[in-house]
Amino acid sequence: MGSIELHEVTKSFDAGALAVDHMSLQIPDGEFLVLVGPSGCGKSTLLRMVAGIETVSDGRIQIAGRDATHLPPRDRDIAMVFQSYALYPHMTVLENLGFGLKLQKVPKAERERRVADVMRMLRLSELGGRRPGQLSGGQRQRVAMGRAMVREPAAFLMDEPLSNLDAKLRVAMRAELARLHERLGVTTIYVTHDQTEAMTLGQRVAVLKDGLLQQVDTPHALYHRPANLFVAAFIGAPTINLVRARVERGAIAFADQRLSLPDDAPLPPQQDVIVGIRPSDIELADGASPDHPRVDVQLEVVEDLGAETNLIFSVAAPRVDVEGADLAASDDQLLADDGRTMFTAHVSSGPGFAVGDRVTLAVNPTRLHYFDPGSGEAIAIPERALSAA
Amino acid sequence: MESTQPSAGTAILQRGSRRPSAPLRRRVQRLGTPLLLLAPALVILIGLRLVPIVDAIRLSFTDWDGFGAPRWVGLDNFKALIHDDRFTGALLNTLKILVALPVWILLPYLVAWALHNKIFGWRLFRLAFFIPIVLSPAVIGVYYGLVLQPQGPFNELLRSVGLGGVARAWLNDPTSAMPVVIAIIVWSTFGVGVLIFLSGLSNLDQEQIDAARVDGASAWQIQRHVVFWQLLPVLEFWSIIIMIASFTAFFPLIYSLTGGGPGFSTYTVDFALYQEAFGNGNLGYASSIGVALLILMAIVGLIQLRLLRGRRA
Repeated sequence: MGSIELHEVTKSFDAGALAVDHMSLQIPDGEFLVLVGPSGCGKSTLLRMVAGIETVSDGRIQIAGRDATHLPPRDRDIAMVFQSYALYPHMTVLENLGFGLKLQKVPKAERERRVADVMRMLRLSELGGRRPGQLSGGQRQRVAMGRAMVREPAAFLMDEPLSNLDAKLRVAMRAELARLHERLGVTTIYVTHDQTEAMTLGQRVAVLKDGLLQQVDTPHALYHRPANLFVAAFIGAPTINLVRARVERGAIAFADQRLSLPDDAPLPPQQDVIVGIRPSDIELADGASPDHPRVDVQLEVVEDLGAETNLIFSVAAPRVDVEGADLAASDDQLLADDGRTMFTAHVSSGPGFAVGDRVTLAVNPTRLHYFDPGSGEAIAIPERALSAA
Repeated sequence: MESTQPSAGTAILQRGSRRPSAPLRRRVQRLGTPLLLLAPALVILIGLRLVPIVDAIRLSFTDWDGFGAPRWVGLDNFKALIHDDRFTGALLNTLKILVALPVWILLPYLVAWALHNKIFGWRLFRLAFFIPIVLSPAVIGVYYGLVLQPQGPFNELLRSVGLGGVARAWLNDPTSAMPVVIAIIVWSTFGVGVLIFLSGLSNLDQEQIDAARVDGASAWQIQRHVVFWQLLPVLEFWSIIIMIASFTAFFPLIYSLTGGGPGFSTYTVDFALYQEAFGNGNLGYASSIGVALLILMAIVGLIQLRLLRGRRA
């Protein structure tokens, strides 16, 4: 078992671009840490540096208490699962699993025992004689996992291991991975660009952007206490609603809306802010607390998910684009910008909603997030709301 | 109520009896454009390749001298081939060239690996290794013929560095002529191999290499267990090309370099084919050499593929 510590780890490439910028992280023994961020944020580079596949430009990496910064991968006592699985196509499943042990000169009897154990655990016993080309995506993924497990390493490094699976299998394997970690308790660093995967798997999640660590915390804290606009926008599905607003006495005004807040609602100290409202913090007015401010909206899109429904409506305010986050830079926008912002309310499915319906919604004022429009940093985090959450 | 109109099915049957059915028509239409586009290539292939091959097979059973009517001699040409010392000697010389196959594979691979890893001056080297490819074999033959003369620059160089004892008439000495010819052939063609291996190396699955590194493989083990298997299709391709070239492509170079000598020490099967056809006017016999070569290449090629594909997924 082993903890992993990154001290000011930096990776710069020839052109001078910083892929990872002075990153420091402590991953205690047995923790499942997820590195998440958009493409090009440096998460895979960081993982490859921990694996020893990529050199470290500056800083220090410690694995299980010893300096591994310049150790070759084979001396780091880690195992890695790759996005493409990277199985050896000319070897059978058995040979793939045993290859690492063979290279480490593990005695044959011991090798066979460990391979058999892993095959049994991962339901691979029937597939021992097959080559990767004869396996399904899910089976290959299990072999890739098995190849890492059989090594019994101090830490697992996983680079988007589920991204090649279809959506349904991905969800199933996500749960299996969580169970596996629960059973083995091995320190794991898991890289993904899928925030749902990050939130469901990670004991802690580190959010990266442009090689910089934005926030590292539990999924719950990331969702409820985002450190900045980027984290707020990147974490959570549906995406957080963001709008430029003005804090006035006892109310928040944006566009044609004015949310009157209760007297005890936490408010930021400054007037101009960006307000974030999680879709799940907007309720149908019927059944909501009478203290919660109401807004009347006209539905433009209704996404009925079965148990829940996403009600999408627009407010007369310009979009707040967050650079690097999934919703940024109009990539999520098909139609021309009409100066309005689409808001989503994630409510329990009730009587059928239809496009064009006028609906009264209630906003939980204690769950509002405030961000500085200039720096994007969070301000006046509503502590009372957190305790209620 | 009964209808007096013909049913839809009847109408289809009636149409079908006069014209091809819709799926067949669609298939013809679908094939029309590709066939039209392929037509020029097919005409050239059939006219300049297939017809001559079939004709050569026919001629191999005759004693045609290029002028009179070919006379059917059955298997006589092939029986004569087996007992023709000149031919078996030529075949042996060709096999000597083929024996250099490992060098032919290893050398371009090592150079390609170095270039792939961007050694100092790799752009210059890449160009330098490519130059022999664009030179005519006859030019290479004449050039090395001059360089390797007894009083030529190569021997002068040896003498100037104190290796005068090694100097000799490289191309006139039966013991050295064939190795020299092989070396020049390897030099003149390995640039192609470098390019082929370079393209193979640029398509390597880097994650497999990384996985092997994490698994604890050394540089040699990565080459052996990962890179080799990934490059196997390239290796197959290159070795088949070399094999075919050994049997058919080096005549112009050898002709201009040694003329097949001294004696018949560099006389190869393609040389023999040329000599019988255009030197001795035995076109029927030359055709039987061509047919024998075709069969030999098929056999050697199959053996190569079998050896190389043993464990491929």
